[in-house]
Amino acid sequence: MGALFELSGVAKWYGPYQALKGLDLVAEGKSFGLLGPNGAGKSTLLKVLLGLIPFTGEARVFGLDVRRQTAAIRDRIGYMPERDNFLAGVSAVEYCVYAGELAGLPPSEAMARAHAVLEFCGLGDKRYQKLEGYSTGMKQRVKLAQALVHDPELLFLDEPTNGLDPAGREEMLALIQSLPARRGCALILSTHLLHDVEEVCEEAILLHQGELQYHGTIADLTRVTEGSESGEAGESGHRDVLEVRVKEGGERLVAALRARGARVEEEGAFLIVRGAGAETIFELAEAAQLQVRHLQPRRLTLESAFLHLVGAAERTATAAAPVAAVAAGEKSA
Amino acid sequence: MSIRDQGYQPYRGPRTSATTRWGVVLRHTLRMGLRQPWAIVALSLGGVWAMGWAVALYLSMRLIASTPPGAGNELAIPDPAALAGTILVRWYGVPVFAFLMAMLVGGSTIADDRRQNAFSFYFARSLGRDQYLIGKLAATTLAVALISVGASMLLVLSRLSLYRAGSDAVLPLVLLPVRALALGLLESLALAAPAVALSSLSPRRGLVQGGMAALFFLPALLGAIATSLTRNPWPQLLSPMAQLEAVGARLFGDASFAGEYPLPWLPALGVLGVTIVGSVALVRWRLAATEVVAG
Repeated sequence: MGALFELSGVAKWYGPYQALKGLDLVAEGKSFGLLGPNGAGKSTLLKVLLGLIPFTGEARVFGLDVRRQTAAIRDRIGYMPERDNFLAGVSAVEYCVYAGELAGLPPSEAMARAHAVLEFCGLGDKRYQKLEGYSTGMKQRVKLAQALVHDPELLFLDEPTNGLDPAGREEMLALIQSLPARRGCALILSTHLLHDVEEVCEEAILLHQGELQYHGTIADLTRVTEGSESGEAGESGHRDVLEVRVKEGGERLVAALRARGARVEEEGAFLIVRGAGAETIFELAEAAQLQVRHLQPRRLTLESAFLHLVGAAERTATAAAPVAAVAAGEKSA
Repeated sequence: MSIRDQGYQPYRGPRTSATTRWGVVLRHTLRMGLRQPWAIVALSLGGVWAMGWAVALYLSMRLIASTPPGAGNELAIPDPAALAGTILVRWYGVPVFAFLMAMLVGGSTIADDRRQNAFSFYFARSLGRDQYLIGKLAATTLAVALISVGASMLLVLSRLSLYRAGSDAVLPLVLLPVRALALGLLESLALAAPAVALSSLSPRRGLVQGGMAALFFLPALLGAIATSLTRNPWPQLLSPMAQLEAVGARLFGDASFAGEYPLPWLPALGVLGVTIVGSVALVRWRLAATEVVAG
């Protein structure tokens, strides 16, 4: 299977402000979390992929050129916007039928699929009700239904759990999570709720100030490795930092590990081990006749990893600013 | 929450051409526009009014037929041109109801989408802004034409059905439907285009409809006053009603449509054209500046 989408040197300027700074990216997975603080360029990237704005560089979706084959791409994409985009005076069925026909489905097919997708989204018994009377949770589901009705291969979800109560949010996430398996579509989830991404997505695309900070699996992003404290989280080639808990006599394992040159910190019942692999730990535990009850690579929450990466990017930018200013001064002199 | 797929199969069939999606917009807009209670009232009143004229015409023709020739009290057979022209362009004819329809359907069409933030619904799909505009404009024009063309054609057909060999000139009668259709479509477009253009300016339906009424009636009133004071037809050029009357007079070859100070038809047609083209340009400009993905 080819790449879902590819970006090569994609840049976008709004007057003097550069929203995207030469993004290079090949996305091949099934579910992506698009992350970044406000102004990171997430919406601009969605606009680029939908072919809504001019940009420089090359962008392809499903292998099709975004500039030249916009219509073909959009027929294969579903978009669930953050803000409500309902039409005045229509029922959920009419809304979805209209959405389907606008995406190229023949009228009879659009009607059949509108009923099916509303059933899929849990609105079967409310489908003839006017949208004005819907609750927030129902509105979110209708927005998802209209994005799904034409069987898109890629779904853009912009803050799909906005305004939902905890139970509604979990239901919506369960629905979204099931989409790749049940409907065969890939999805890009743009949200500031990192928990949602952690629950639904396999991969993350992190933007900050228009630059790509990270693209890879969430497992890699949250993995803590030696050296990750200096801003290299998730990069291959680093050894995992391990979390260990033994039944009794942890101090003997600490001593043995330190004797082997490993760095060990105690965090409650756990030992945080750097510089020693799992085999070494088991070997030393066996030698000291200790029972290992827990051993796994240490993981950050997605939120910590996100803050870590964004913080590192900001530190880099701050450090580079005086250098750039001096360089500019020398140039002007 | 229940998730039921009901034997879901992805759609693999053909899709309609992306260049014909304006038709989908047209159908939806027309359906939604004609659902408005006041649009139904306008349509009904227009129909009843035309029907009334048709009945009056039928009765007068029957009366003429029953009158023996040479009795000295022959009634004039209604002039087909005057008849169609009257119903199409006189303020007491179709334009009132047609204007009402344009204001209701056209005035709400883009304003509602703007208020509801519905542009992402349209433009994140394979629907260009021009196709959206064509769909909206065609739907409004059709809604107006239901009255302006529909009512006049009803009258024209009833006139044709009362054809009297020997008394009626054939050619004007044959051309009558064509002329009525041409003038009706021009009138529909001339009313629909400004309504859609105004609708693109504000999300508030009431404001748009009020603006439409002001744009339609105020110049007509001022033009009529200025013409009667100056005894000069040119101030009427401001009035869409007078413009249509002038074109109607030319089309039907009856100067009586255009009143005491007839406005030349060519400048009137020019202003109507500029109004239509300008309205379309305004909507295009407004749509080009529309944000689809927020943020």
